[in-house]
Amino acid sequence: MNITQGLKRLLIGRKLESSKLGETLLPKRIALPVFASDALSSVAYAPDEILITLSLAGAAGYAFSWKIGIAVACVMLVVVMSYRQTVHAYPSGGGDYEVATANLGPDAGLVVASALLVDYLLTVAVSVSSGVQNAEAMIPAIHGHEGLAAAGVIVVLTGLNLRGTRESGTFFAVPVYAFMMSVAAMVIWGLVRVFVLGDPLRAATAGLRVEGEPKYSSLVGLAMVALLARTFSSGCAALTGVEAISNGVPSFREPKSRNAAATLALLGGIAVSMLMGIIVLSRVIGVQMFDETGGGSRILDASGRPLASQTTVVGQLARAVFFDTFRPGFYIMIICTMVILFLAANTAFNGFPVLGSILAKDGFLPRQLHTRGDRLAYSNGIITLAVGAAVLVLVFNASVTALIQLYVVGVFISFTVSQTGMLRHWTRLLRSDLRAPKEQRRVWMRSRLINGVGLVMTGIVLIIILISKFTRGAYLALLAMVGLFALMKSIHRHYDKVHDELELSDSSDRALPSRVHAVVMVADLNKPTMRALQFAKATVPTFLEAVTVDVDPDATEKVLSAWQKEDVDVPLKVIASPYREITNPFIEHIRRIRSENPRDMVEVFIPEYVVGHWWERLLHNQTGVMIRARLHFMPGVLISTVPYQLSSSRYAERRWRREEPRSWREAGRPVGRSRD
Amino acid sequence: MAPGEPNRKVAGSTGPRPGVLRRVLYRLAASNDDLVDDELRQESVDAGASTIATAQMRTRVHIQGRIEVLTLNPTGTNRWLEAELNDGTGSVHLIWMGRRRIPGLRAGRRLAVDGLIAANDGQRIMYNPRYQLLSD
Repeated sequence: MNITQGLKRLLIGRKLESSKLGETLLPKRIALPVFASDALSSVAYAPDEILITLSLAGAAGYAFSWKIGIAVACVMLVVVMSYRQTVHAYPSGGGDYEVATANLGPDAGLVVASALLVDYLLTVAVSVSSGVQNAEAMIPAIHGHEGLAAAGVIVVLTGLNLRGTRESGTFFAVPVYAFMMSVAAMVIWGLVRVFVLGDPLRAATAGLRVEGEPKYSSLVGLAMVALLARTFSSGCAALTGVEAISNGVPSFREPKSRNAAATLALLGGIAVSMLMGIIVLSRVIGVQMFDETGGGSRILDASGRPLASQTTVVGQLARAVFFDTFRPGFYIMIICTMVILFLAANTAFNGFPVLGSILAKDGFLPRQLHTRGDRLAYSNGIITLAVGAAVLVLVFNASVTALIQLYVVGVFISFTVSQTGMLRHWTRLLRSDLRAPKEQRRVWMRSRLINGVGLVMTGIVLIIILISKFTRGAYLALLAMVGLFALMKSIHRHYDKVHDELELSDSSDRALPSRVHAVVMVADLNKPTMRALQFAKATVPTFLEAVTVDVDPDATEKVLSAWQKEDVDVPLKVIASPYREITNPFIEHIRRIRSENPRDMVEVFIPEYVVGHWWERLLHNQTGVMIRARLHFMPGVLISTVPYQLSSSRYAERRWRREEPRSWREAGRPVGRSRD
Repeated sequence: MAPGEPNRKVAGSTGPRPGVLRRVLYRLAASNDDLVDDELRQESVDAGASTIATAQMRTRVHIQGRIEVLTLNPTGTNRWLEAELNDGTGSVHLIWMGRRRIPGLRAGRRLAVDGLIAANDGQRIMYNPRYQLLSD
């Protein structure tokens, strides 16, 4: 084992057999943190974004925070209810994509798929960026290098996910539960201190003067509506990740649908209470935020100078609630927030490759994305996601406020399309199965009603988001989606074209070659050539000939006399080569055999030296490689390589036996087909 | 397209010689193989030999060309030497019975032969021709 392999073993772990696949299924208590960390973690930045947007209206704007929070919570509950119907109806993990494809056609499915793929990418980018921002509060050295730090975190997450779902699941459960508990503890303890114990808790920014943009400060008219719409759109970031569960149903233990639905309900309840808890508490103790990215608002400190940087809402709350009474609580809260944000990115690492693999299976993405790697994870999908997200955080320098403008659009596009699909699904069931028992029909009616409400709700939210965010960056996300859509369409078209071309049609596709011309390529009469000759003879062809190209008359003479002396019982043809080249005269000779007997099969035997080192490969077989490549383009020609193992080849064989390099990249197939 | 075809049309021995411009254009556009065939054909015409493509079957002909493929047969089966002669218009199989090698006869060698040309299995064939090795 060399250093790279050792490193890979250390980071990724041993290969897993295909039969171990069942063991990567998740029980509910692990599935919740794995799939829900995205939706839960957004309570770490959704309130921030709500307050930041409201700050444009000055200090009075914050009064709207809890109303926005309630609106977001309502949407959240409706969406969760709708998705509970989806996981029951479509348990195979296709999620929105499958729903849309089955009910609205493949184009709708592709719209959903491209929207979701883009949003997964943004989930990773936004969550990791937000996590890095939180970390900055504890490690100031990161300031100025957020992009690089975020990219580093993405690399670590990629490694964890290449190890496989289950281990990452168990590993992630602890911090997610810790986060839930600490948020609960913080909110409850904070409210108890204020209302029961009567402590006058105040956030660090409470009472400071906030300057908004003048056009919003009147709190009336169209400007205010637009501002509230923007706030609401940013707050809707809390909803991302709900669909992750519907895409991840196959990862649940049996009964998959029931467990997934229960986890969804749990997730909805927890996320809504955490979001409302944080918003209410921040309102009670007067947390204020401003737009750091050079937006219209700023906060003036006591001496009248604007603040240069700010702490996140969770950071301010934790400081106010815990710092004086229970200091470890403050640190636990911050660390948990940071970690859960990184884990949220992990949700995308679970969802993206599964979706990618489904798309690949349907021929919309390269087939390699469908296969599982050494560790039974969809390695190629994971790496694709990691690269995409790393590019995003580097380009936007990990700024949450900038990234969040691109975010959420995709999720709501897929929500809306899939709700439409579900509506159709139930309607079709109700129409087609008129004799179903009454209770069954009532369940379907109820499901249809839920999905109908979901459709209206998500549709309205989508319109609000599109209007309020389009010029602020959402157009970039939309462009990416359109690009992805076109790309997947053309990949599909290509696969279709190839499929049509390869389909058996008329009888000529089934014709048996009438005769076999075997041609053995000879450069010299030695062991490899003799082996090729004997192998060719063993295939009992109709005609057998050896062919050598007369590049050098002396060498040809040597071959001829050796041939005579050895008394080989195969005719040897010497082909003239007026231009001292081997490939063309040889190819020309094969072509002539072909055109004289078009229904015959020509089998070309090429002796090849198998060597152990890459530099030896440069010294041998070059002509054979060239001829093989050319012959591939000739129909009716079969190319047989007759390997002859030189003694140095055992080094290579040993190396391959230790580790087949392609098995990791090409995934799936080589798993379980061990070479030793 | 058979390699012999275009040059017969352009610079064939029958019919008037085409204009200079056409010949220049042809030389620019033709592939190397066509030009080689042209040269071979021209040489044999200059030497007064007949061309393979126009040779009457079952007649004695004198042709001149280059050995494209030389076959060394194993001792067990057909004891003859086989060669394929190309003069730019077509090819003919030459067979010398009872011989395995002819010194000096090798692939790429230019050769003039006299013999009875016949058709066999769709190929032109000439048994035991008198031959003359030409200098390269």
